[in-house]
Amino acid sequence: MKNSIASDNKALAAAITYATQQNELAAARNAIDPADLNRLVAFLPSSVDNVGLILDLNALAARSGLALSNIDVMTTAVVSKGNDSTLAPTNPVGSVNLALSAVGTYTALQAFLRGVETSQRLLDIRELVVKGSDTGVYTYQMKITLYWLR
Amino acid sequence: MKSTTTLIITTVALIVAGVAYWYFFTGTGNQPPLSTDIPTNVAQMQFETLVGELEPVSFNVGIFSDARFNALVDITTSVSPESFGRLDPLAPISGGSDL
Repeated sequence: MKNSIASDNKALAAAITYATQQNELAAARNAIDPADLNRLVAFLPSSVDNVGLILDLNALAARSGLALSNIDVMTTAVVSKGNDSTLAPTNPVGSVNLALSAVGTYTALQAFLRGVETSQRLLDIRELVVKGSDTGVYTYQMKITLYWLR
Repeated sequence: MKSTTTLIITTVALIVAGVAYWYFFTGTGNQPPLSTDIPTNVAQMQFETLVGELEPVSFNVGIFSDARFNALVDITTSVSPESFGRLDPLAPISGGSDL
């Protein structure tokens, strides 16, 4: 009986500790400006939303003077911290690779790369292959990595 | 001789009766133990362990005042809803009677 009461008291103390920390975190989150939180969500969204991103990239390319084609979503393996993937917690940040082709001038490519660099959504251009041409309009093949919060 | 036997039997009976009374009615012989080993819930133990591993968490909001973060541009394209097209989009376009 005494052991049962001690066990219950211990569980109650743990629950109080958990609830206190949860309330502290919620208060700290509520103290952040909602506009800043929205910017943070745009920077690292909680879903992949690759379709929306393809639309955004297509619009960015059009503004830059590039024509996108052959956009392909490449599957990526789950990245885990540590060697043992069964025990180690998975990385909270997931990534998806996009392969795409584009046609345009070098100036247009520069504008597109600048747009990707300054994009509020976290993007990385992993590979860039340029096919030469005598017309000044080149074909580019890119691999872009986008990130999201699991 | 007979009285001695009777005395012994009476004494033994009294002793047995006394022991029986002490055992069954005084409650000193069959009390449950004060402490029992109650199996602790596994989920409760796991919760207590996880709570014990909790560390103070604080948000570093310095990124919101970082000039590089504030210089990032939102490239989100708004998608406006489109109206429904023809009921049979594969039908030849004629006078518009099938709209």
